[in-house]
Amino acid sequence: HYFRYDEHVSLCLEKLSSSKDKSKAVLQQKYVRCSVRAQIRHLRRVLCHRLGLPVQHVQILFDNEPLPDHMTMKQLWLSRWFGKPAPLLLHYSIKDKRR
Amino acid sequence: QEEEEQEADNFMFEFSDKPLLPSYNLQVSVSRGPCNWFLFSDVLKRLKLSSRIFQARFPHLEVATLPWAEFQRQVSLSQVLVQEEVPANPEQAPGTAETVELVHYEPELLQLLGSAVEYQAWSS
Repeated sequence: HYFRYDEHVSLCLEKLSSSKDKSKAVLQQKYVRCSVRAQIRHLRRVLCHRLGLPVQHVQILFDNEPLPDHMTMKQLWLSRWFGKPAPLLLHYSIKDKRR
Repeated sequence: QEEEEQEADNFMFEFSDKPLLPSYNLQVSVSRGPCNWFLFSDVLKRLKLSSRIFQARFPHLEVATLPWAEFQRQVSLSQVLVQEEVPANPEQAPGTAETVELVHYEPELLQLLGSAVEYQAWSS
């Protein structure tokens, strides 16, 4: 695949807070860069790893809409952020474990 | 070597608490495919180092030169860059070549810049 030679996208990941969210997990290093071929599922997995959470508990959203796991960063950029300056702003939400 | 090949097959994610320096996907010579570069001047500014000190301290980090016009032509082909973000040609003293200096995007440099690096397998 040789992803390391791919073009990059720059993202900014902000936590979406809800009153039900009791988790204190917040990503300190919220500026993220990766390949245009990376998918939402890869981003989700790497985010969970950094937050120390199981992968089912984190959702990635754009404009309050959850993004499909197989969407690539290129598809995301061209459909939601074309012509806008970097970084692309994404949100993540953490599900309460008891729900 | 084997480890390096494995990493090439994984996605690399860079994480930072500071806004990221822009990186550019460029082909700097005909004998080599496109790969990612920072502007050397951006890197030196963030590290607060001179070019001489940087190259003495990190001789293994690759620095390359590209004509400005060629840099701008390649960057203009990107679908994920906004043209206003592309640096303008700086004022050049007459008689000097209009070139841009680049430094290769690689994990060791990212760590110098204060970023964390994580890998994620495509298939996992």
